[in-house]
Amino acid sequence: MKKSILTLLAAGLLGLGPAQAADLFNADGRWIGTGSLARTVDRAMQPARCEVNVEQKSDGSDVSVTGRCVLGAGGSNISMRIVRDGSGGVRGAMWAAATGETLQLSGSERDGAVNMSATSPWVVDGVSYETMITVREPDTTSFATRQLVRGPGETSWRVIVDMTYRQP
Amino acid sequence: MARKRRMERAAAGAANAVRRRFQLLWLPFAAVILIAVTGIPKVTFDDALLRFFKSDFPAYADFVDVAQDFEDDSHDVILLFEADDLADPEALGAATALLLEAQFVDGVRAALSPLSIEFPADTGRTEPLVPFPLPEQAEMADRFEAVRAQSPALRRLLAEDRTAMLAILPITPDAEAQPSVLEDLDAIVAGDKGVLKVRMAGYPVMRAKLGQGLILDVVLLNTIGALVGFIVASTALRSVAMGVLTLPGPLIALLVSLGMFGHLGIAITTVTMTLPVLVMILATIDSIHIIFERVRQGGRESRRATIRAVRRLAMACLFAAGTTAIAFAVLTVSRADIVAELGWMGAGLLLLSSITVLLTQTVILGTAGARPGFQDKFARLAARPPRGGVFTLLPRFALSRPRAVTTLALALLVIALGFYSQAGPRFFMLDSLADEDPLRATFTSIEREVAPISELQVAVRSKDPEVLAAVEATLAGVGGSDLVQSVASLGGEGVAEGLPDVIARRLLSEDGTRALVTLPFVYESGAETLALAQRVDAALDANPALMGIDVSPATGMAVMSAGVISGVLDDLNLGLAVAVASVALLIALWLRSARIAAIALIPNLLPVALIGGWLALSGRGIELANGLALTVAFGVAVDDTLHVLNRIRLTGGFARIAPERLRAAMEEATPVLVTTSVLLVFGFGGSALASTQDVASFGTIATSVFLLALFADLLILPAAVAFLGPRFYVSHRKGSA
Repeated sequence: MKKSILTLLAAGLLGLGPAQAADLFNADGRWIGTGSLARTVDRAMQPARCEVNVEQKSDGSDVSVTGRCVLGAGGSNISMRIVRDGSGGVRGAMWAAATGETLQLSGSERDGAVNMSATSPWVVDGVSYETMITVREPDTTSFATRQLVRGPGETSWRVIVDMTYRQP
Repeated sequence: MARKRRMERAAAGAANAVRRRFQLLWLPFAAVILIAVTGIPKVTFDDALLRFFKSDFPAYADFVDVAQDFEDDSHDVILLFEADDLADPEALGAATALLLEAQFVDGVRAALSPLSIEFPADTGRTEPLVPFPLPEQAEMADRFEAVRAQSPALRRLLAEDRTAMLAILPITPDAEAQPSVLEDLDAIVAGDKGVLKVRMAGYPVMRAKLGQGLILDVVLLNTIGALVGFIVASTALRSVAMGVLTLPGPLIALLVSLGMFGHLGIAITTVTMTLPVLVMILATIDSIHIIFERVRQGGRESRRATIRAVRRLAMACLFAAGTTAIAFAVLTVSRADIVAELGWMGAGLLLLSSITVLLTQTVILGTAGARPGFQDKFARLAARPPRGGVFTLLPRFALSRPRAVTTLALALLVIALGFYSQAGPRFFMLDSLADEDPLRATFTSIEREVAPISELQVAVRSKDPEVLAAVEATLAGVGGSDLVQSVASLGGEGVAEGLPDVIARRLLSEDGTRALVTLPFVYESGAETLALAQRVDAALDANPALMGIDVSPATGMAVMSAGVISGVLDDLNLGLAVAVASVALLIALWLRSARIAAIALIPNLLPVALIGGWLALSGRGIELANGLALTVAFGVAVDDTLHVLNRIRLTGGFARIAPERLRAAMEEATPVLVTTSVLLVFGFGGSALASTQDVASFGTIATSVFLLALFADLLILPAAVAFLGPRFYVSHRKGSA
């Protein structure tokens, strides 16, 4: 049985907006993402759309994100919590209703971009995948997220989420 | 004779008692008003698109058996996308963006479209039909063509020439939430989409339209009914003030009937919404009869004249209400809940309305009539009573040739009944919408450009691909269609697992033990749909590959509705027969003459038979609204006959009907008959303007019956009484020749 990668779609939510390139936790409010994603890790990309709400907690070092991503045939609710670890790094946890799985992430901020990796392999149908998430700012009104996977024996990464967010 | 005198003395005594305590009549009058005003705020409306069919017919049971295990399309919004070529990235991109956005509308549960379809690619991977980025037009066209050749799912969603495609959006079943979902979707669909044109359809859209139409129609029809009643009464009575005097009874009867809907917690539906206007029109007719009779009382003191007029007409009014109520009451035995509901609401409201109008008109005429201005008007009218115009020629002609007219009428009746008996049932979802309705045009485009919207379903208690393939092949063979599908032809059980529940439950039951095989087909008529279902059932029974497999009878909305409507029409035909017999019995008891009762049926059966025969001959078939209209119109049409018979009774009875007396009775009755028929035809004819097609159809058929009934009462009734009635008339005529 193919497991949905919607667990990882929430990785796209890491992008917290242009203002956050310098200050990761300043994003707030509703964001709409357009782009593409793959329904399962071994499928080709297809058009998709995500809508998320970003809510600040504490002094900006703790961000709660909830939203939903859809494809041509339905979608999934997702949620995420991201916390700065105080030593220049970030840690995160993501959950998707489609799978009910939670994925742990950790990474760092560098050159206005956030790079995170899953702390443990993502196992789908008995196959372990490495996963990586990047967030960047193509311009001042948007941010883009990409999620990549690499299976056993694969030398290059494959993009399975590619979303660009703008505020409505 | 002594008994009759005793009864007359008792009635006169009661009338005297009412006259002495006239002021006390205001108390029940106030109670009636109270019932009306406290009930009206509680009135609700229900499109009843599905409840329509709730019944204990086997066709409904088969449908429920399948519907409880599978998701149906009753909450599906359908988006129709049209472009020169949907493989064009600009058109496909716009459709994709719209579909993705639509899924974010609160209440949209999923989406099924070409974007949902995947196929096994040459690479061995499963690929989405519509990938990202969108390919060039030629490549996408090839992709569509290749998958369309393999997949019935895509053939159901995409036109062969790629100019149209469908997206199915199942929305929340919560009826209260649906309007805002539709509003949000409408906002997304509206606006310029470049090369793409988008239209919205589906049951929820249709329900919303019918729901809005119901409220507008209730207001429109009752307003038309009241206006027509007032205009006709004022014209016939040659006085606006006298016309106003006819209004209180009907208006209060209308309010009481609406109030009763509220008090009883019964929603007004497309079936029951004609009841209030029917009540008002019949009440107006009673009111006009009463005021005409009040005029005949000449210069008597107002209360005495009013009570005497009401007393002379009360029995005829109650009998008229009773016969119409009988026509409704027979519907209560229908196996369809909504028809039974119409039956007992109709019977109850008509009897209540009759009492209401007698009470109201007694109070109003007795009080207002005492005013000098009205006394003058009554006197003027009495001196120059209304005439029947050219209509008076009809009974004269009938009485000059009673044998020929009666024979012709009987022959026509037999022929019309013969055709009527051949009329088949008809129900088509789109018949609820007018031909020119944009929503109907959208449904028609979907059916013409992409795939039929009617679907035959068979549930199989097996997921074995070979079994399902055998069922699919059987359905495809019988239906001659390449659109048959089940989970087997869509790629196996795994397909359902990857889909949202609301979509997957259209292929497999929740417990995974049953699979649904579906055959889209073009709806032609109820009879053909039932024939198709029977052919499918027979072919499935005869298929050796399905021996021992639990396969449901063919069902689905179209099959079920055809089966239920067919059963309801059988009920209605039986009901009509019972109504005819009951009316005959009632008249026989009232006038103590079985012969007159039988004669009275001829002019009342003929209009119903003629319209029913025409529906059969024209190929329209009998829709539920038409079947109801024929039964109800029969009950209403009898009313005028009863008033004619009452006029003959008041002018000397039926024991010895001399030709002069029959002629005189018809001359007295004709103006009232013409007035009330004009009222019925124009008052109820307003239904033809209804936005709800079922109501318009009901009104058109009923109005046609009323019009024919007027001619039948003026032409055939006197001829039949003269020719077939007590022999005195004919022998007298011969003797005097």
